[in-house]
Amino acid sequence: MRWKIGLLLMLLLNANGYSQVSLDFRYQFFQNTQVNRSIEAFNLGHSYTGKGMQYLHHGYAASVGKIIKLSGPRSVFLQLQVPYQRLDQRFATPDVTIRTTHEQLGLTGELLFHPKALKGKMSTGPLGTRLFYSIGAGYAFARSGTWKNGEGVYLSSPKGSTLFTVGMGQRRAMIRSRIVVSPFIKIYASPWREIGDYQKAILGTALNAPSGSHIVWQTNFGIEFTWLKKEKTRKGFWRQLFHKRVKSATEI
Amino acid sequence: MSGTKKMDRQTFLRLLGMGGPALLMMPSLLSSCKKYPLPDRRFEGSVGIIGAGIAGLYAADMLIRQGIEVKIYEASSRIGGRIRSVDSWADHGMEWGAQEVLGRNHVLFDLLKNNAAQFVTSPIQDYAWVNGYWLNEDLMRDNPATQKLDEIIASLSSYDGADMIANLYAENQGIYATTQHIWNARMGIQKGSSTDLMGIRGIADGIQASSNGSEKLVFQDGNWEGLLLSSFQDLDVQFNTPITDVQYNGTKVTLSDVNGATYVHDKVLVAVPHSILKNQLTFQPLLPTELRAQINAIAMRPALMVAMKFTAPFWPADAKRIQIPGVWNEFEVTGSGGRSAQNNYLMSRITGSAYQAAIDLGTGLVPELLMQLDSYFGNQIATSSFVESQNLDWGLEPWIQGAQSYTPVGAEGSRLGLTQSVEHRIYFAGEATHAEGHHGTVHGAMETAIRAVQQILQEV
Repeated sequence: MRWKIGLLLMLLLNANGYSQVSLDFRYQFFQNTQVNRSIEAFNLGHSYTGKGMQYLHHGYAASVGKIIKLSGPRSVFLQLQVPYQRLDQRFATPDVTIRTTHEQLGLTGELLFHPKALKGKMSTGPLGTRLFYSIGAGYAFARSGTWKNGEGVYLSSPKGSTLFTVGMGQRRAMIRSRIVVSPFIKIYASPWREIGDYQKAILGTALNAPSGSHIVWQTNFGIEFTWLKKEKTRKGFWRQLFHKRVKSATEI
Repeated sequence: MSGTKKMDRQTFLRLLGMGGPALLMMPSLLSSCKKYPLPDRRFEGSVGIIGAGIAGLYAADMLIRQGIEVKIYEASSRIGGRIRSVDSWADHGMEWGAQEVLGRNHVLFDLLKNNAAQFVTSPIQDYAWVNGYWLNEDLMRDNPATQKLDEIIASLSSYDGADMIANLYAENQGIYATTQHIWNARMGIQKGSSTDLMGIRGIADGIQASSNGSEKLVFQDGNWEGLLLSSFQDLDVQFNTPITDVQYNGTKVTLSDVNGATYVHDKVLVAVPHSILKNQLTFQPLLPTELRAQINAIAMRPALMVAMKFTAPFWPADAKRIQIPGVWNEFEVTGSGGRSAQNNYLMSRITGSAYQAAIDLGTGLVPELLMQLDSYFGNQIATSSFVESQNLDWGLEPWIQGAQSYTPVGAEGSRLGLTQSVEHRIYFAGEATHAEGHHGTVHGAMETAIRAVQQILQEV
């Protein structure tokens, strides 16, 4: 798996003349039924307090990346991203404050496209079609931690897992003709994520008889900002084949 | 893109200004809207709990809070099982059973804090006799023999090789003979037996599963009975009711005690010490063959606790444990860290292969312990400053019959069977049923209670 990460990193760093830098901010909805069962068990075990912890559902994420043009007129782009995601839950009584966190640092590669544009039936701009779809895969390292009364009591070692992603977005607006603003939705699915660490963070131990699925679903709602670089005069193979100049991403 | 409405920059920024904060506040808004989640309660009925140890008490407390009718049947006349504090003998909280709180990442720590428990904060440390010298923990880090021992123990955190007697593993790894007693104290006595009986996979699994921290916390004031069992005083416990038979061939489960009285429940949680489950409790019909084999594979041995009072301490003021070669490898300084004004008490837990030797000595045991201490501290100081002793033999407790479970060679994975219910009517809890490495601990027993209650509530 390391060579895949290395390859993606190399692409991310070396993509130059035909790539744009992107930055996005996301709200994330995290869902895994085994983690839910762990939180239910935590609350059951702390029922003597009359308080409890909410599901580990809501988190924030941010990502930097590059959008690399593969085919302008056909609106096929490769988006390489490094998303960082964080979820946080708290439980507090007068004597004990518990904070459980889950962090994930990933590297994803996605193809951005529009089915009609693939057949050459749509006009495209520097970032392809206004409405776009994405599909891809990646690898993410995740770790969980627990802080009790401000002191770290558990921090798992980072564990990697493959993730798959689909999504869609829209090139919605422009700022100063240089920054394209695109709301998007992306769904990550990690079928083989190690669940035990979440359980150890939340409960202090792994559940022995868990019910529910191992699959971790992460639904991301976000806004992406993409900086359009000025076109270079150098003509490459891909540009000669497909590219045509347009005024802006939203005025196709 | 014809037909689409253009948004100017100002409109976009205005919308972003309104929508951005709302989006960022969404998690807290959503979280504040609902009550905290609990397991679905699909079960309606009554639960009988066999055993008023910490697992049974805690399970009962959780079930009652979920609206389930619960009755606890306890064989003895007290609650707490292997949590038992020494009563008014020492000037500080002294324990016959559970000694330390291991780590903070568990519900036991939370419950103790809820009950205003304070832990010793002044530095205390282990002292060991190695090759003619007393070493504290700093010196042990610099000594080649103890460094090697630490390496061997550290290697267990990734060990996945063949199972074998723990001592054989240590010898294969090149343990120095001068640290064999420390090995036995740390990996044997503190984990419920001795390293000439325990399997290395069972020890390694426990180390690998550790997720609650490496601290060993000792109460500054008070004792286990006051700080933990006080939470469960109001539960409905029927004392002096040793259950010997569990019939689950109908739709209900019928329990029979030694006097022939019967009690009927929809579900039963078996929360007795492993020796009792193995030797005293019968099931009709018999438990599944594989489960019976798993129960038989797990071992539990007796332990003899010997508490000794001296006129004055002859050990270092910051000593927490004293580890010496010979038959009796470890002595606990029970009043360390400012718990006792005099700090003049030692406790020896004699278990594993040393237990029988202690029993054979009879009344000669305490003089033997003192002589062994004399041989390392010199000048017959232990014998001359000895005042009195008390002891408790967990092996002779009729409804406990042992100290804590351990995993012999070849029994790795056997605890998993006890994490599942039998026909959704018989459930198991207690330290021996913890399959994730926390067996032999109070917090482990409580975690099994959470697991069992979750199963009871959800299985129909």
